[in-house]
Amino acid sequence: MTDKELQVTEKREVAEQGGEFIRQGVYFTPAVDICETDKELMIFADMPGVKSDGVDIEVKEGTLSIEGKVVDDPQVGEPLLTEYRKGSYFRSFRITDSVDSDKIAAALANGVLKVTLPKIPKAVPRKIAITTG
Amino acid sequence: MDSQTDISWGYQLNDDYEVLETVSSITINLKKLMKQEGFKMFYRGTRRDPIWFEFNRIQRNLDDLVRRLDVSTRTPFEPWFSAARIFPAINVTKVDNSYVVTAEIPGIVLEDLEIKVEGDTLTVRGERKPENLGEGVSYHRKERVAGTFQRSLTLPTKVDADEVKARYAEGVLTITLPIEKTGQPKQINVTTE
Repeated sequence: MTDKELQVTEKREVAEQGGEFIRQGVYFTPAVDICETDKELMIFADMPGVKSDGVDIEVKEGTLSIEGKVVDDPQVGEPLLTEYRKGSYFRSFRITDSVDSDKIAAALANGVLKVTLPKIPKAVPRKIAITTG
Repeated sequence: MDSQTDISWGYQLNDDYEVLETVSSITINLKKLMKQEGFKMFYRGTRRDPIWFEFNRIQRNLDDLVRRLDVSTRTPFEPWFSAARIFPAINVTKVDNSYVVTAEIPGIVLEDLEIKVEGDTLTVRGERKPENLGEGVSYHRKERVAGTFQRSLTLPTKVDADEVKARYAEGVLTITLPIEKTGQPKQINVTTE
């Protein structure tokens, strides 16, 4: 197995990456993995601290936006060490017509959001048999 | 000519605002230096003169530093200064009589997580395994990392190891460590005779 040590990466805020971003609160860009199989596209997004009802996925004009709201629990006690910031997550992707927007599904487990985007049947690669003779 | 050559190297790498201030003051001072009459000639003409090697080196390092601090050129997940930072990032708060340690570790299974408490030291160890997706998968983008992690944390006072509670929900690990009762200062009542 990989013996690689995990490293801490600073959370990047969405607003500072250019472009318009108008939403209340602190928003970070979640780390994502985008994978593709023959039949579907999958997006895995790291969204720790987001509950199932805080997820908002929207497809509009060829853009898929995923948003994970983190409820800011009131400050109790005295903070001794703060190494990471808490905030909501937002990221948007451009999707092409080869994705069937009606069948997009999502699941949230252990802070990882998995979005499945099935491809329309036309976009599924077909193997063409070659006849000889 | 009044040249300001006070360059201080003692900046704290942890505090980015302090570094930015120091860097910008060094850059301004160097620029002022270069602009002054006597230096202008040297700057244009004999930049390769060995006398400038150190200055060039400083300039290159500072450019590099400023470029790394410039947030717009960084990819979302590049670590600060490429130095190894200890994973996971934790927040510790003191609530009533216990310490609450929280860490964001999405995507781990509980079997891969190990928490140990000894005296006043908390050790969290684990492994985040990559998604098992099988054959025929191609990645367009891979930002989530997988690997092992271990982190020890020494708390200000001893904790009661029997009463430690840990909870992993929504990718956030929350550990509550009650402070050992005997560690708390006892109020001594003064009696007057």
